[in-house]
Amino acid sequence: MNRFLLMILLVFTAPAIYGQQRSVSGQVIDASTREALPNATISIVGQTGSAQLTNEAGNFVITINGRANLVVSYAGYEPSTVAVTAGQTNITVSLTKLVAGMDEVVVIGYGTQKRKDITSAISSISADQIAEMPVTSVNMAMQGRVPGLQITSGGNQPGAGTIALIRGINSINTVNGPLYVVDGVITTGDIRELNPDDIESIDVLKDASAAAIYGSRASEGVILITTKKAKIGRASINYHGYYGVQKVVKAFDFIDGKDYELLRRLAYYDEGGNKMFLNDTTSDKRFERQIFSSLELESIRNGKSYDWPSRILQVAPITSHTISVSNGNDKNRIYLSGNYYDQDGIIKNSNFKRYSITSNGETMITQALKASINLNIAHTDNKILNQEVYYNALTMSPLYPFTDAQGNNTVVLDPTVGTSDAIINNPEILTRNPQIKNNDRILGNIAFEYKIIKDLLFRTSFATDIYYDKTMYYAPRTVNVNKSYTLGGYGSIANFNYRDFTSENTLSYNFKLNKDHDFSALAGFTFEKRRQEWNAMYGSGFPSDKTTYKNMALASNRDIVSDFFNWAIQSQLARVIYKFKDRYVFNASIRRDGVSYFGENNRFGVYPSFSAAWRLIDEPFMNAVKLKGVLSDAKIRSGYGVVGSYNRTYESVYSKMAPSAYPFNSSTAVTGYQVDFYRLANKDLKWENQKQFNLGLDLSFLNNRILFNADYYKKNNQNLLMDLQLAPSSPYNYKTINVAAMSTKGFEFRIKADVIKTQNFTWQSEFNFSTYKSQVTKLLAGVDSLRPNLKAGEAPNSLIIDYVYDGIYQISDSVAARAAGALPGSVRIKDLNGDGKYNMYDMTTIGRTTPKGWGGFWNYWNYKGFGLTVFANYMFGHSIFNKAWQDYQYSNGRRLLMKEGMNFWTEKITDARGNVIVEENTNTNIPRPNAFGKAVKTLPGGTSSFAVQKGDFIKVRNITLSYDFSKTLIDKAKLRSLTLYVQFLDPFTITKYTGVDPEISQLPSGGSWSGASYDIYPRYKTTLIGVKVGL
Amino acid sequence: MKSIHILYTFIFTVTVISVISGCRKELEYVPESYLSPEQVYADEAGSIAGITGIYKQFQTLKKSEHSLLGNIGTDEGKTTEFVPTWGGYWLQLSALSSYDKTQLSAQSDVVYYYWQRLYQAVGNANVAIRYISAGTVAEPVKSRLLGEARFLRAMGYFYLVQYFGDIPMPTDTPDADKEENGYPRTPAADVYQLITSDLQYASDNLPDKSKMEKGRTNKQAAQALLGKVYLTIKDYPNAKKALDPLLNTSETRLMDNFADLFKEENENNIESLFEFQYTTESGHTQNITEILGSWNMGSNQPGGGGHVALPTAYAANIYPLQDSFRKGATLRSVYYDGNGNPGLNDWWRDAGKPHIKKYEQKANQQSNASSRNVYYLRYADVLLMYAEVLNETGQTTQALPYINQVRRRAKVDDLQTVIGNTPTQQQLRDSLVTERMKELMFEGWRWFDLKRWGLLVQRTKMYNTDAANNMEEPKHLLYPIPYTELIANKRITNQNSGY
Repeated sequence: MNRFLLMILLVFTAPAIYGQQRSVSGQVIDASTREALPNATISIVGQTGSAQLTNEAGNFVITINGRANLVVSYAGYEPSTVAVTAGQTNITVSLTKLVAGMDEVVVIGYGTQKRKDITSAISSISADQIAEMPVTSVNMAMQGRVPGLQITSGGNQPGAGTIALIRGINSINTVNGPLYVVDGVITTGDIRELNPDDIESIDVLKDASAAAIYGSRASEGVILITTKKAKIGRASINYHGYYGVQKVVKAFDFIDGKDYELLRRLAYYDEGGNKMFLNDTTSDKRFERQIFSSLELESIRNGKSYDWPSRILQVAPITSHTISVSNGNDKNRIYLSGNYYDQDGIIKNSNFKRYSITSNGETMITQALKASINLNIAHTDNKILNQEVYYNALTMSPLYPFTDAQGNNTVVLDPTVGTSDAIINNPEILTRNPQIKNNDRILGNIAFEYKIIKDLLFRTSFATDIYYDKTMYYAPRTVNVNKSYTLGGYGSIANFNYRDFTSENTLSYNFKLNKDHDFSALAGFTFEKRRQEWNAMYGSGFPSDKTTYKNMALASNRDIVSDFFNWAIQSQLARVIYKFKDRYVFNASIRRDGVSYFGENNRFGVYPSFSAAWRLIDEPFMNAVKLKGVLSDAKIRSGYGVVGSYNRTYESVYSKMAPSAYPFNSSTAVTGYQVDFYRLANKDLKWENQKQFNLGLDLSFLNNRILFNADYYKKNNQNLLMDLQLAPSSPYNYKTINVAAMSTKGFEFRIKADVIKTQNFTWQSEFNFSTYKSQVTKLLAGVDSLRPNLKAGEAPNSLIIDYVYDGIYQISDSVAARAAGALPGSVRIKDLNGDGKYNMYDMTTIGRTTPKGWGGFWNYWNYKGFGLTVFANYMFGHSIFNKAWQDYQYSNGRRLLMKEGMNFWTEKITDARGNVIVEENTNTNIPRPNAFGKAVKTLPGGTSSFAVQKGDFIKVRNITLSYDFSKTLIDKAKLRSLTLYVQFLDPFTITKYTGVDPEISQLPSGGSWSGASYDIYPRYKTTLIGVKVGL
Repeated sequence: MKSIHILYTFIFTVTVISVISGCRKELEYVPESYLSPEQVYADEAGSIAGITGIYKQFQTLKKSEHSLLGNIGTDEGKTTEFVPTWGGYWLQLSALSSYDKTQLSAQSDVVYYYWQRLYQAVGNANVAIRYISAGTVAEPVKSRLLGEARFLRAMGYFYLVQYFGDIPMPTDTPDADKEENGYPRTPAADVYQLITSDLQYASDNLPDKSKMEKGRTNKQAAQALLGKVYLTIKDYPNAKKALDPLLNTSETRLMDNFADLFKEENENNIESLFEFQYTTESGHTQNITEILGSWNMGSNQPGGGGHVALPTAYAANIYPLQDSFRKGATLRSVYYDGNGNPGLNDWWRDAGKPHIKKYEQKANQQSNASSRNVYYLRYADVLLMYAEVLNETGQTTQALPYINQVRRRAKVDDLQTVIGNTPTQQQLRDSLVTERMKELMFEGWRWFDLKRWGLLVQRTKMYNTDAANNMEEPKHLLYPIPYTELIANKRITNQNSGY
């Protein structure tokens, strides 16, 4: 601060020491290595436009009037002010490198703070960390890197979304995900439109004391994204591009047509014991014709088998190009960037493309007034295949030929099923007809900062988030959608769009009372308004497949749906940060939100927070410890805050009528209305809120070579919204009420170390671990379980509830089997309540989907410009309901099985002529094949604990080998930097889980953890090469 | 510099103030796209539209496999062998035919949906009655609308009380506590009280059938249904009183030819008192035609058209040789593809067995999107009910002419040729048991008829092989109260016995 005062003093005294014009030359060097620093900025205090840069050798020449004070700055170094005395013509300025982490600036919401002064739990990710791995989205860049943050991919299909959970689940019914704030603008969704290459830093506000400044929307944490801005200095152009190929990782190994044929025969034989199904000796083959289609019979005759999954898979390219331009002086700065990203899916015809432009600029209009603009415009083009595609390919009869004699895809008909469901959509036809999803998004803000008086800054910004989402789909005649198969095509167009306008006005004031008291105050007012529209049209019965969804008017059956909403949020906020003796930091904030989406009684909510930090290391009594150099930093943080959760919906608050037309006299339907009984209106609804306590410790050792951060937290979520199931006779289905409560305790830490640090070789390592335990503490009065997977005392929606698998009924168990309505060879389950019946009262908790712990492990080695990065993440202690694994072993005669499924239970079976079809096999846990579900009849839901597996895994996400070209080579090519790299993404996973991906737990739209893994898009691994060039 | 300073400050202040003052109003937003019941029932047009919405509930209820309730699980109809193999929901549907011990339980989704949809129909009727009673719609429209709403409410409760016994009974008097915490089980007698009073109101206030738009309920339908309700609760004098006017009215009579009843061009005919309306319009089609395995006309692809239910072997053979007109119009044994070629559906498990033909549609229609209407009440039913009322009150011989009217239309000899000129009361009862099946097969009444006669378990076990080993009395005279209702309704603790 002394330096600052000195500067102020100098500004005012500068005119008095005017003298004659003269040149001063000098060099800027690194204080420790004595190496020259090229492109460092030199400027004369109080003289705008005087800035200039050092040359390649770190030298500069500057013209001054007599005496002057020079400010020298260089990225990553502490700036220095040097007084040039009269007569001095040559100076050497040595700059000290900033200690990593200590003076790093952290974005805290409506402001910034130095890392060393942070009082709450905030984790940051730098541009360098983001650049390590080519990722499609902000979320994926954070995966495994931020303690306490859990990123789950929504699937492997290109463009699939991600779900971020900060410190676990905070609500029972809705998972909105964290609040994303881009350059100060509160946005919606996971911001996948943003090119990760354009991000300067990500700061994650994890605890309530940090997030409370965002009030009613912050209960799931806040992710602050700062995009890249130009640095003062030489203009630069950067290019980053990569190209790679993705290959499927096969999860299951399937049987061929011959085994499939056997299973189908056995499955039908099993029902009635008719040996004609095993070997049809009738002249017209009428038994075979009942269970095989003519195409299948032809394949059987010719001994053909078709590998459908391979038919739709491909080795898929992925490519990205980003070019950015940056230029700035002390008055104007501009950063421009463009990105093209194109990823093909490993299933043919799935694809994700993104085109984005970022432009950030700022200008000093006067000394006191600054204007800035941040603008991101993106277009994404996503071709999405129905999940059914891969499932159909996997379950398809391998006896079905890919095409008919003419080379056309056949319409596949299951001869054993009698309704329109019999049409199994040919996976290859499905791949030709993806859903097309286009997004356009403009995210931007214009801000003015006006320094009213010294240290009093007024900032006003207008931000907009314009989002347009359009999905289009057409299923031709050969595809069965909602049984519209024969209706002549099915088309749909859906438009969703919103426009957010946000006005933010803040006043901030920083002042020091004397040397010991440092205040920083903020007060603000914000207002946000959204207009949101959704409309969709669906049509079927097109005269031809030629026009597809592009001419919906041609459809003979048409449906239209639409809605239209406004939302408004108005807030006041304030914060005071008080620092005493630079060692004790106190932070208090408050926000009051008023929203339109609750009834008039509960429109306003208040969110206070308080936090403090004690910089133990700076206490005089620690000097001795500090001097020894073992402990270089020590800080204790603690905070408490209240935050809210939002759920943008009016559905639960207002009652409404729905259309319900009726065709009297069998003619055109006339308008009618029915009550929408789905929810009973509740005008007393209010926010869910969360109170969280956080205790943190930051330590660093050996001159900051080892950094350690740990946080413990405890949070209580209250007034959680639940859909109370009403009696169907009421006749409402649900009423949304504020009722439930849950609590979470968690712990997370991170260790970062420069393990080896020599001239030529460095090894950096980072490890993080997170764990939490959540439990529902309150549901409804007197009720401890609302639905099977939601119980008091357990983490919400985390339970897998089903029957307990108890082996296979053997011949010797015939009596017991019969009593259960089954036969030997059927699945046996435990009759838990011993009432002799098998029904839902025998279901119990057979697994928990919340992990006991997870984290990441990152290593970086560098030897003379050769770099190697290995990054892995891990998770353990969770179960996955691997239904696919059961389904691909239990034969119903129609589904394709994996090879393990051939080890099914059976007695010795011979055909009518006495030929052995299968030998006895009773020592197994797989039931007999049966086409009519009889072998799993004891399982009313069709599943049991058989399908539950441990999900523990270590997944190597990234191995990168890079080379930074030497300076001499670069200089010859007139480049600033050049890096080449080869990268292997998701090369292997260590896990006992036998499904597609132990990391993907599908989150259904309702937001509850199903933990189920089923017919999902297969996993793949990627190999790519990339280049980064700086000009 | 100074003036700019002031100017900026001024601009900022104005901006802030204007934003602050503007947004308070924004918070008081009510969604524009929501239409409230008050808005709908504010005028006559809205009230009429509200009534229309109640009809829609029954159209939805009846358009698919739920319409099989009443037909299957009896001596008349069953699900096909395919159905349980589809698993899950379909396994539960087949349990309504087989009374499977595990699958027919409180957890049955089929029973749950049926319950839920009927209560939503009743709920819409309650809302309509509440708002229209208190509203400004002028007479005579007001009484007509209330008559329609009360008829439809009675129809809903009549299904519910027969299937479930004592049931929750929300009425048009709103009760916020019970809406949230549940209505208790009201004794069946009280439910019948509400049903008969609703139907009495409807009979008194609804215009004649010819004065009402086709497809709407009417005076004659109300009288017929009231008669049926009284017959069900064995109040024969009131049943007779309710049915009497129907015998001397020009509003309804039998169609001349039985087969004409089941032709699309004869929908809403003179014999029909009330029927559920379906058209080719999207959202207004039914798929009963499909699930009963009718001709797969519109599709030129194999596999369209399914078969979910079919008559029992007993029902398929119930028509004597002479009864060929009714048999021919009721049953089919030959199947066609879209090109009219027979025999393509031979992969059906029950191929070769007769299926129901009554809902057959015109050519070139998708079988799962049929426009064929479905009867609720028709005059032949009235005649047979009337005969039953007379027989039960000891007027057995007087009952014969009414049965014979139905038989003559079917070109079958009078009943006397079968049971003589002076049959006993029991002989006539037995005759009605088969006569009603022959006349009304798969029109949705069999389960209720059998239950009324006390023959449900006995005859179903005898003639429906799937159910033979499973059915119990009195358990299967009622369906289970759905699990969701038991859980969510704080005022219901007891399940129907046996479940």
